[in-house]
Amino acid sequence: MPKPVWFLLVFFAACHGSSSPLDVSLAPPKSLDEGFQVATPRFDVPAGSEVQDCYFVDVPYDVPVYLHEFVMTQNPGTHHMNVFRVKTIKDLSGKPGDVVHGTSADPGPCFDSANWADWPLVTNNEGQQAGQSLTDFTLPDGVAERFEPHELLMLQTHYVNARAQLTPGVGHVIVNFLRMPDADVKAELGTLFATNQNIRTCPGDVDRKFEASCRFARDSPITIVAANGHMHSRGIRFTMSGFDSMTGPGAMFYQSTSWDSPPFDRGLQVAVPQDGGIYYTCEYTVDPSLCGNPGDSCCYTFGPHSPTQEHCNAFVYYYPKNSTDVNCF
Amino acid sequence: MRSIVLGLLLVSGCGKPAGPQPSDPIEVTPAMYLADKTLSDVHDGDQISLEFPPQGGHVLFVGARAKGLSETLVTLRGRLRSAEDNSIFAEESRTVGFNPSPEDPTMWIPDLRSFSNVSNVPVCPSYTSYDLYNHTFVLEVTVTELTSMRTAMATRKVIPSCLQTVPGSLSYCQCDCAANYVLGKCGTPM
Repeated sequence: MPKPVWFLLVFFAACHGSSSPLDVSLAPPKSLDEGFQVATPRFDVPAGSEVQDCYFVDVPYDVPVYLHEFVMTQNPGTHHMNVFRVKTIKDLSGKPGDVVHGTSADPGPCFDSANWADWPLVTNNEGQQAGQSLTDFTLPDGVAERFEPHELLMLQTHYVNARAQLTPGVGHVIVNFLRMPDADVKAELGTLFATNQNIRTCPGDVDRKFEASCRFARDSPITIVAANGHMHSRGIRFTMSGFDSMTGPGAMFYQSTSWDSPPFDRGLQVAVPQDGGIYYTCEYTVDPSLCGNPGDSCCYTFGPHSPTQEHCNAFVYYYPKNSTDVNCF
Repeated sequence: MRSIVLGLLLVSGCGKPAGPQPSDPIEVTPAMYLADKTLSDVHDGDQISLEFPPQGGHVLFVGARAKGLSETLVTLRGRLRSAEDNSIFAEESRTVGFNPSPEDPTMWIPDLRSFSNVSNVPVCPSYTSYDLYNHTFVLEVTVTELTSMRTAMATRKVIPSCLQTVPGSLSYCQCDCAANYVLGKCGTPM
């Protein structure tokens, strides 16, 4: 059951947060005309554990709005933060203001990705860039994401304080959602979330590679403007390329060799032809001394638990959106 | 002179090394991975099951039997192409270990204990304007040795099919694989 929590949907406020070097702060928008802020409370991430929480918020407007900029900041120790639009409800739900709490010891529905299988991505930030606690994702001129009045969103935070990733202080995530005047909008942004689910890599593997296509540009050519990839600590390389329906994978436009602080490439201008899409690859090397699942030859398979499971997830932002956002599996 | 004799012996078959030579061709037989953890050779016109992975979508479990391999680590690639214009609807590849089959040591197969050792071709949701089930497509299977890059490919005409026996799962597969999918169209699987 979701619990009402003390997280903040802030506007008109003037909070500047803590001054701790391990605690981020972010001034909220000055007014609802400018945008709104979602901030989690500060929370503990006990040693040896993971914390994944799902915060439900609504878009605080009585009319449709267009968002053009997402400013995201997270305390060190973050594994990811994703924002989704809530669609089909399975085992995860909440009203605005609710949070569903999950830990590695008691995961619950916020850890089970099947519960948001058809929820479109809004924005995301994976890990934390070295020396950079703030990510400003501004869309190209005239491009914005449209939201319906009081549309329900879910902000998911994942902190890790075990094995290869540590949380030195407390968890804390803040996101500013900033508007664009309706009259300035020329194209809607579309989002793509792709995940290769049947991966498996085992101790002793070297450069074990998984590749998959996601063909989605049904209605027209599209332009990719931003992208990032997500793996866990056995991941050594993540790439994305364009995909042409006649010739297959094309030129690489994204590469990450840092599983815990993958680059969030913005300002891309990758043209994808109609009927095309993306092609994404993940490579893993597993030290022989490591053990993921003792019941499966210590191998690492698809799953959210960073110390013992693996991911191969692609996040892509493009325009025009056409008829749908995209989730590929 | 000795080298010429040795060469003649090799050509004639005397002293032939046990394994395949780099110049030998690799032969690939496409095969589908079944729920009982066996491989079944794919023939033209066969149905091939669209399977549901943990989070969503539907994939084809595509393996192969390969003759003439000299390396255990290969890239196994599965592609689903249009039978009309040869365009690619979905493609997937992965590094897989192949070893001699217990039944026929000349034929190498992947480790069948897990479907992660065969290609998981991501067919659905169908973001195309085509139904991706109950129609004939071309399945292309390629095996490439990681070091030598020796490669071989074979194709079969197949019919991706929703073969689920549970009604909710069947209708979810048919919705997920029908043309013009949009997020939220099919709800969540039963």
